[in-house]
Amino acid sequence: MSPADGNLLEPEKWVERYGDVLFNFTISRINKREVVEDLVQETFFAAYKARESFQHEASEKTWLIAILKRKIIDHYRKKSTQNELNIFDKNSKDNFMNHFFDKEGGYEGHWADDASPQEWKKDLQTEVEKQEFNSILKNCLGKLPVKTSAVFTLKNMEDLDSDEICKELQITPSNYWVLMHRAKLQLRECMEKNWFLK
Amino acid sequence: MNLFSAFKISCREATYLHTKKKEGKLSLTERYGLKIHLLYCSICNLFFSQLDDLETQAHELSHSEKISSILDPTAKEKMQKALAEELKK
Repeated sequence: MSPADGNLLEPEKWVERYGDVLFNFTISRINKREVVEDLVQETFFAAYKARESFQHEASEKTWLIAILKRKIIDHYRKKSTQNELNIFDKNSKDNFMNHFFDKEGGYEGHWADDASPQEWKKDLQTEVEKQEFNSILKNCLGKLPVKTSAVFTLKNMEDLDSDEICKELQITPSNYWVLMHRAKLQLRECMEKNWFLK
Repeated sequence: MNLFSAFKISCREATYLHTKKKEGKLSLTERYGLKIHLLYCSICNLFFSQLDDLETQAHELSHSEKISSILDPTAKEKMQKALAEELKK
């Protein structure tokens, strides 16, 4: 294939040109430098192997990012096949929900006193605040069980829809709603403790 | 039992419906249940607005073009070498 016009690939310059861009893109999603470095490197390798399939109307950068996105989704998928079965069994469900909601009496299902959302005092104005928020968000996501954080991230950061997420993670729609519910309750609580009420 | 209590849901159920609502997947019963719940429950209203903010922020931050972290120079050099090896094959 020899394109008369259009963009050419120059793999020998990839690391210099796009190394930081791809790294930055990935570290905003996955909070572990070593994992991110591996993903970026795998992306360059995979791109080089697939160089024949490059469409010359696209830019090198867009193409590399598309490959990287796929790698990131694969990363979540592989991680979330780790055993987390107990999340859906009755005891674990009850224990989890009992932390957030009253379990009996007239207030059954009502917010538990010490888990009720509080008004947040901070908003995000400056770049520094945004960066700090981002790093706390990543930490909080990192504390969630893998599958729980995977549904939240795939939905809100990778822009997959719920059908795609169920397919990638091999879960049922009802599991998806449950995981998302848990993700939101835990993440909100963690953000409130570490950021908004600090 | 009046109509109101027929649709009554708890905070636990209301928060579960946040995602379904955002994705347009509420059933008719769920929609009424949630609407009624949010009419009187200020805590769940707060939950809903905080979650909306959190999701917007998560989205915005992961789509920002601004470079705020870069590769460590040693890692970059290693990567450069590895790729150069690959290109020789």
